[in-house]
Amino acid sequence: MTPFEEQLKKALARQEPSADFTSRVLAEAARQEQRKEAAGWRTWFHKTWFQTPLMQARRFAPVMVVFLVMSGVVVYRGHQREVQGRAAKQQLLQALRIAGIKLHHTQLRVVAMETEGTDWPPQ
Amino acid sequence: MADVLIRSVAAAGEQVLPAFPDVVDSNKSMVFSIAWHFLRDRSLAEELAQDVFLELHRNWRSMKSADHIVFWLRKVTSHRAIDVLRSRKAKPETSLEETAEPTALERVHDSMLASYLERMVASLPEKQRVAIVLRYQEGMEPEEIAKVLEMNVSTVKTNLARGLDLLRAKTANRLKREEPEQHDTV
Repeated sequence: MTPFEEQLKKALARQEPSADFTSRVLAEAARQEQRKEAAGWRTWFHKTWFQTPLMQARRFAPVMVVFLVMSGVVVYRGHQREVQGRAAKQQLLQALRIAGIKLHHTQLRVVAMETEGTDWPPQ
Repeated sequence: MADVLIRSVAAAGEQVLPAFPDVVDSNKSMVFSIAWHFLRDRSLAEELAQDVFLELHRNWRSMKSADHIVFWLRKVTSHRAIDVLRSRKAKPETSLEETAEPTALERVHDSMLASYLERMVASLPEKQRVAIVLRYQEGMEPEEIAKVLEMNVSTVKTNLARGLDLLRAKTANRLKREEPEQHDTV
């Protein structure tokens, strides 16, 4: 090393920062750590209790809508079939009742004609 | 918090690291001096040094050994100092030629020369300046400087040689001008 370089080395000797430098750095590091922990906790809470269910719901919303519409259609058609079946049953019962009454009337008439000696079929 | 600050062991199987407060304490003069010799602004140099240590704290988990920490600190400080200097480019930077010569009252005493050289180094172009600071403040070899600055070794050597030439020329001019003054006073 030349004498000039020796002089340069002396000129560029290390210097100390202010006396409270280390304590300031450590205090700031502690503050950053606390902020980081708080932010981490908030993020976890947000993800676990708020963001995830909402995100899931948003993601599956179209599927849910299609599912609900299809279910509604199926339920409505089932209900319609039931109503129609009930109406048909009522009509059938009505028809059976009418047929029964007519049969009963005819039976009474036949019995009455037999007791009166009337030929059957009437001339 | 405390466990992070004083955590002295890196991931399993790796070297034992010194505690973070010890690292700050033992390397603060190195980091501050690189910034100071580069920027010649005490408050800015302290701010930069603090930012570097806070970044080290954030990246503590990736540190592998004490040597790695020193290498990392030198590298980040040098790059940050260059960034700060570039961001201050709007503010006119004094070039080596424009830097005022010390007054005639400043004699060639070592302390004066040291102060003069310090000012001259701070006015070198940034690449030459950072190479000179790392070479003569930290006593690093050109190969080490090349690793820290992510440059070719030949580029580092060129920057060192050019920086030294500029400093020598300027100092020689100064001494020449002072000699006649000294004769006049005798």
